[in-house]
Amino acid sequence: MTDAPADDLDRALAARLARGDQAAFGALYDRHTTYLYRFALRLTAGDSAAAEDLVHDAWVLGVERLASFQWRSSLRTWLAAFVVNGARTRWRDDARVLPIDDTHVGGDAPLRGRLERIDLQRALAALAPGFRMVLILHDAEGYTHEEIGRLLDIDAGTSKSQLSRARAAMRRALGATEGTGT
Amino acid sequence: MTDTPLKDFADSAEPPAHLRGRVEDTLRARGLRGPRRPSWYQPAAAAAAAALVLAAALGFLAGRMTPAGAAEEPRYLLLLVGDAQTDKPEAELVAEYTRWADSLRRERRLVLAERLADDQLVLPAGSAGSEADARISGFFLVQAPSLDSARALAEAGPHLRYGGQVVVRPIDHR
Repeated sequence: MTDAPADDLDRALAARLARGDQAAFGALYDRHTTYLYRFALRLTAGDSAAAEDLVHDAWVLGVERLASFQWRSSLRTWLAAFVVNGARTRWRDDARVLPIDDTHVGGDAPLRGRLERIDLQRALAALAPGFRMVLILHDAEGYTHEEIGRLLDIDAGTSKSQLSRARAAMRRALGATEGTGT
Repeated sequence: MTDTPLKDFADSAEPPAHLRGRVEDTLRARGLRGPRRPSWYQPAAAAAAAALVLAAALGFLAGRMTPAGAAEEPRYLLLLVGDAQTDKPEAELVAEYTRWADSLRRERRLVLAERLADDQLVLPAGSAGSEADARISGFFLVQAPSLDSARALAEAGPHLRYGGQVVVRPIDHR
């Protein structure tokens, strides 16, 4: 998940920021914040206040630790990891785990477009945070199970399992929505 | 990457405009971002901290200011001279300056506020600038019904309380 020219520009901007060039921060902010905010909105199922907090914290931590960044991933991926970790911390005490009934699962194929946005948001919000995170990372952001495993400190197999169950829960929620006509 | 409606969720959302200022405020408060000093600039630690406080307060306003009130009132330039002299924690000072600046904005008195960089160019080349000019760390352009009102706005701020000076100059509207 790297883009060489973009990576080079980020490196150059980061170097300028380290030298105290204040404009460099603005350039980095402009390059990545829209992505980070949309990513955070997906992780929080549309909670704009929570998404703002997550992006704020990601930038502060990112700038704080930029000197130790090894550039083994893109800067954007590295910043997104702060968003993910912030979300995990936020939800750490959330013991809510929705009962997942796999009997209604109709295979593991991706969900496809038939959904109204509001229904999707409701279904995401109802999903247990951990499942939602794997679902968003894999299906919306394109992370591999191996990458998700490293990011969330879980096995790739666990990521696959959680994705399957998350998709099942989404189908169930969205099927119920369709069924009731709401 | 899997093709799902999830990719479309929030795909047109834009981060709130104030978020950047919020991030920058936090970075400044933590000393992670501040005005770059030229190599010849060696201020005392206290003065440097005070300058940072002012920079943070003014930086807080960047992109947040609303146009002044519709009434065409006279405008005054408040020149902030010197540094705040206090042992108060930096975060407390930042909050104090920010509250003052924000109150001016809410009262629709504020037209523009900026901090000034440390270095300056004096022309003609070779001539010496005044020491007072070099100590101007920022300015507020405010709208007020009279010079006394502008004075009251300046006196309501923290800069005078901490030993700084504020020079109030009416804008010549002739």
